[in-house]
Amino acid sequence: MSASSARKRARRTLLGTLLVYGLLVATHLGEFWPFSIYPMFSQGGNDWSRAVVRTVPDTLSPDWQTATEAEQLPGTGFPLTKHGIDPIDLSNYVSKTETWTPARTNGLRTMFGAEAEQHTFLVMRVNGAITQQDSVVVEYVPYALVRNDDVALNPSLPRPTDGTTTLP
Amino acid sequence: MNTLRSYLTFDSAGSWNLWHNLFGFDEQETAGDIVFFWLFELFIVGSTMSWAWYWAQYIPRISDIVLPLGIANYLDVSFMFNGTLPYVNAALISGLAVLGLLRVHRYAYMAAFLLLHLQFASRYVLGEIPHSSNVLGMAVLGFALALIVFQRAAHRRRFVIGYNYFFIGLGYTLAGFCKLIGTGIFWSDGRHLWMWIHEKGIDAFAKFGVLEFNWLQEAALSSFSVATLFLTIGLLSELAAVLMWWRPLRTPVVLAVLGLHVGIYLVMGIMFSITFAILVLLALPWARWIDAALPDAWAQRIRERAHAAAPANARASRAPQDAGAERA
Repeated sequence: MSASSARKRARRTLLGTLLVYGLLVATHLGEFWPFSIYPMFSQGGNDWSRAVVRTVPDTLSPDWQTATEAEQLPGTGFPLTKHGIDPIDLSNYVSKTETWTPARTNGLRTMFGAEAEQHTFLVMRVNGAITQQDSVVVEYVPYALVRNDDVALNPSLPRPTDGTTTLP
Repeated sequence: MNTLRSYLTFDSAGSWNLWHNLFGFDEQETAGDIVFFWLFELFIVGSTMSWAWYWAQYIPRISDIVLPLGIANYLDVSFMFNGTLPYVNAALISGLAVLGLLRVHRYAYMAAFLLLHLQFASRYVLGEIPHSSNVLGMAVLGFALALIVFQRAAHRRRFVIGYNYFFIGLGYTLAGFCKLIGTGIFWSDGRHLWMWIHEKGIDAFAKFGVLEFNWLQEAALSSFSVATLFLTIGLLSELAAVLMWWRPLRTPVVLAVLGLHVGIYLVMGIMFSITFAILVLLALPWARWIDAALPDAWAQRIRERAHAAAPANARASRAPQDAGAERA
């Protein structure tokens, strides 16, 4: 194969790949691994939501009150990465769950694996927003108390039977 | 230093033709080009195996699908959630990657790529849409296409390198345009960075159990202008990334993208390690340095060996009209 025919073949292959890339991202909301339009951080100033986990005493009976300072949180910080849990997975699991079905609740327990046999965890959703005064406010909302044998959900979370539709 | 200077000024390009700049099929390969390619391919194969096994370890922890990605939109990947299948898949990917590396079969890399996609789609079903492995995935696809499309090893090498510059440059520039489309020209408003620093601070809090900001984050948080400047530099680096398609601009542009990643790491605490490593490999004139270090006799032997290598599985799958003309 000569250099010019190799160039033609390379051009066709590249443009063909580009076409497949375009079609797949156009029909899959910009993501079809490894093709992507890379939309991360494209929405500036939007409110955000993450999750943190606290190790709390077994006897804790949470009051499900929202806190605005990290120092107000019960228990101690549970370093997720050290225990093989991806914090982004947990954040998405918490924030993207619209209805806490038994399967979804059990999935939260499954993420902690054997760790839940040794500790009691308070999973908190963390919401961030910017105020009119240009300061960032962060609030910590308790979502679930995860024990070895059960998961207690914040009573205000939407569940399939209670018909609640509003997130806290 | 002279090598680096000559690379930066790029005296051998001689043309602004895109295809010439990307592939340069008619240029003579040096021993450094060949050795660099071998090392690059070895790195991609090693990283592919590493990520396949890394994902395999996490998949058994998953029991529910929150957000399907890729093939998971059409295939219920929950069958992968049992204890052994992710490991079997990782082993298959590893085996196929080695077969591709050894040129045992021309479709080996493509099969590895497809199974790696399945592994990714099984791992990322919980709502996260990561971009840390996209550049690696595109590189594996590049090797897969090169093995299928080209018979001559030299053409494959040229194609893979040009293909990587093309899609890496495109990806970063797309990211820049997404920001302009998603937010507009005021995307670089420093207050947006304040929000992201706090968001990533909470991520670090979740990861390590401690909430604290470093000096650069404090500097951005305490000054709107500093925060705006950081975002402006980042946005311009992304938008300019497509210029790496042209060789005279390649090294400075890739170095700017590397600088962007260092900035993202320091300010937001995010490091795309595999992407960063691939950029380091593609940014610096490794081939020139290898040429300078290699004794002439070794360089000659490497060239002879590389050009004498038989094409992968060529006899079994070559189109009849191409037979003979493409043999290395």
